[in-house]
Amino acid sequence: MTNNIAVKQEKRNKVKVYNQKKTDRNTGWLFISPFFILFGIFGVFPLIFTAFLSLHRWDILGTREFIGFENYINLFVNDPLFWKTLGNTISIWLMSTIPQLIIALMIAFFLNQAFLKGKTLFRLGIFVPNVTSVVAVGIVFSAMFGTQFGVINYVINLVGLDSINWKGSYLGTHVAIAAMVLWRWVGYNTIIYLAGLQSISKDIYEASTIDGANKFQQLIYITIPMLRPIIIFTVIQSTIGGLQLFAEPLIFGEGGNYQGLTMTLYLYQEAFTRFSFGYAAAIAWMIFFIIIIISLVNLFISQRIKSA
Amino acid sequence: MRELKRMKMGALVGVTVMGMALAGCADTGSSNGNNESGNNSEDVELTMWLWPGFGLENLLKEYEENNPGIKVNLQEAEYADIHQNLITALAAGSGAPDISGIDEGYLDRFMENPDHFHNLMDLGGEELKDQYLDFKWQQGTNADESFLIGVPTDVGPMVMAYRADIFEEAGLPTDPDEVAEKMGTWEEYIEAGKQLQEETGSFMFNNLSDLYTAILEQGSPQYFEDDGTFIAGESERNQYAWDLATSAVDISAGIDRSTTEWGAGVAAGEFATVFLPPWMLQNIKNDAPDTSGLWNITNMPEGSGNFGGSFLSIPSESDHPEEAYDLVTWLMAPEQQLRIFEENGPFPSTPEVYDDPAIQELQDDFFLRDDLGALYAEAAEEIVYGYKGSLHEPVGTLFRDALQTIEDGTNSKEEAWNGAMEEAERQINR
Repeated sequence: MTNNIAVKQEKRNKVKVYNQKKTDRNTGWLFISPFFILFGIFGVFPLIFTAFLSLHRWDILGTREFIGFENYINLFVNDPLFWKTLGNTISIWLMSTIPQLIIALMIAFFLNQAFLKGKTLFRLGIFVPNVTSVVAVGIVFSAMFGTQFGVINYVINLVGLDSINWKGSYLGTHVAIAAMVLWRWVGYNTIIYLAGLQSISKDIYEASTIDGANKFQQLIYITIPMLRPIIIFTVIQSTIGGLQLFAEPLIFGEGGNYQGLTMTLYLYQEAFTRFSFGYAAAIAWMIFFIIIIISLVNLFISQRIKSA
Repeated sequence: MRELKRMKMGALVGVTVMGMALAGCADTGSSNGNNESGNNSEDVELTMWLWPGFGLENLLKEYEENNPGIKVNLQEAEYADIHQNLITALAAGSGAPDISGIDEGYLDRFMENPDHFHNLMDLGGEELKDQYLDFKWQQGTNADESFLIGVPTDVGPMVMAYRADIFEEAGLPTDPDEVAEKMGTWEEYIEAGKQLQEETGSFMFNNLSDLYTAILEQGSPQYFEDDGTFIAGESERNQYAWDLATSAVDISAGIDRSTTEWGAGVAAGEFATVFLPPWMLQNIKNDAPDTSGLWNITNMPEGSGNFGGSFLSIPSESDHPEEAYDLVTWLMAPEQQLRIFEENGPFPSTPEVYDDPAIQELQDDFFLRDDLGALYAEAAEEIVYGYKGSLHEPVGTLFRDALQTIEDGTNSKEEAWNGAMEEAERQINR
C-alpha cells in the first residue's frame, strides 16, 4: 500500500512539474498576446480584407460584385489622375523635406553652440509647432496663402511684385502645402539633430579649432559626417510622412486642376465621397507597392552613404 | 443645412474620431440600464443622429415630458461624419441609431438601398403627403410612391442678396421688384454685371462655380436620367448653365465660398450679389457685420432653386420604429416646423404655415427689405423636383473644379469641359 501511495505521489509530482512548465509558457503567450491580437484585428485583417475588396466593385451599402483585376487594370491604363497624385505627392514631399532638413540641421548646429544663452527656451520654441493641431495649422496657413486677401500676397504686393494665385497654380499650391509641412516638422528634426550633435565628442571640435578650422569647416567636415546615421533616420521618417500627406491638402484644397491632390487624399475621396470601396482598396495596394519601391531606393542610397 | 466651411474639417475629424463615434453608439443599444428616472422597464430610448443646426433641442425636451416612457438620446456630429458613420453602421448591420438625419446630398445613395430603412409608408406615411412641398415629397419617395425614406425637414429656397449701394453706384435699380424685373433672365443678369463692373470696379458674384450651380439647380435633368443614364454631355440644363457661367468670367471675383477669403470679400464689397438659401444669411452677417443695412434681397433670375434640406429616417436596425415614427412626424409637423423657424432655425417645408404672420412678417434689420419671409415662402413654392442620382455630387464637383481652372486661366473652356467629361465617365464606371 505504501508503495502504491508513493507511486501515486510521484505521478502527481510529475504531472505538477509538467503543468508548471506549460503554465509558464502560456503566461508568456499571454504577455505578448495583446500586440498580436491588436495587430491581427487592426493590421492583418484590414490588409487581407483590402486585398479581397480590391477585386470587387462595391459601394458598401449595395451588393459586392467580383470583377477580378479590373480595378488594377483601370489604375494603370485609364486613370491619369492617380499618376498625377503620385507626381503631386513626390513634388510636395521634395519641396518640404529638402529645405526642412537643411534648415533643421542649421538650427540644431546653432542651438548647440556654447555661447548661446537660454538654450531651453529656444529648444522649446522650435518644437512647439510640432505639437500644434494640424487642422489649426491648415486653416491659418490657408488664410495666409489666400489669393486676394492673404497676408503673404499682401507682403508680396508691398515689395512691388504681382500677387500669386496660390490655389490656382501648380507651383503656388505645392509651395503653400510644403510650407505647412515644413513649418510643422522643422522643430522635430532639429531636436533629433541636436541629440545627435550632443553625442559628438567635444574633443574633436577642440582639436580642429587648434588646427585652425573655422565654424563652417567644422560643420562640413566633422558634424555632417558624424551625423550620417541620424540624417538617414530623418530622411526615412520624412519619406514615410511625405508619402502619407493628407490633412494639409484636405484643408488647403486640391485646386481646380487637382494640383494639390495627394495619393492618400485621392484614396480617401474615392472611398468616402464617391463610395467606390473596391477601387479605393486597389489604390491602397498601389500606394503600398509604391512605398515599397521608394523604401528600397532609400535603403540602397543610405547603404551607399554609410559605406562612403 | 449644409455647412460648407465645416465639411472639409468634418471629413478630417471624421477619420480620426470614427472609431470613437462608433464605440460611442455601440453602447446606446443597451443603455436602458443607466436610466435614472422612472426605472420603468418599458422605457424606450430613441437614439438620434443629427448634425448641428436642426434646432430641435427644446422640442425634444417637450416631447419627453409629454410622452413618459420615451427618452431621446440626441447625438450630434459634423455633417460629413453623420452620413459616413451611418453608411458604415448600415453596412456593418449594427450600430445605427433609431433616427438619423439624411441630407439631400446623400439621399439618392440611401434611396438606392431601401432595405436598410424602415419604409415609412408601412408606418402610415401616406398621411404625410399633403403636409409637405411636392418636390420634397418626391425627393423622399421612390418612383411609384410605395417607399418613403424619411420625414422631410427643412428646405433651402434660393434667393438673391445684393448690395443696394453698389447697384446704385453702378446706375442699376435698387428696389427689389425693379431689380427682379431688370434681371429677369440670366443673360440680363450678366449684362447688368458687366455694367456694374465697368462703373464700380466691383464684381457681380463670387465665382463661376456658384453661378453655375445656381443655374443648374433651376431645371432638370441635370447629369443623370431617372433610369441612371449619364447624360451630362447632352443635358440641356447642364450645357445652359455651363455656357452662361463661362461667358461671365470677367464679372466673377474668383473667390471660393468655402474659404476665409469669401468672408473678407463680402466685407470688402468685392462682389455685389450672393445666391443663398435662408440658412446662409447668417454667414453674411457673421463675416461682414459692417455691411448691415446695405443689403437687399430679391428673386433670382429665372426662378428659384433649392440648396440644402434634409430628411429624418428610421434605419431598419431600429427596434422601435413606431415610437421613432411618432416622434419624427410630431417634430416635423407644420406647427413644430414653424416653432423651429421662429427660434432661428431652418425654413419649414410645410406650405400651410407660409401664411403665418411669423413667416410673412419676418424681418431683419440687416437687410433693407421687411418681408423676407414672404419672399422665401414664394421661392419655396417655386422649387421643382429633379432626379439627381447617387453620383450627382462627385460629377458636380468635377464640373465646378473645371470652371475653377477656367477662372484660374489654366484651361480653355473646351479643355475644361472635356477634362470634366472624361473624368466623370471614368468615375461613374468604377
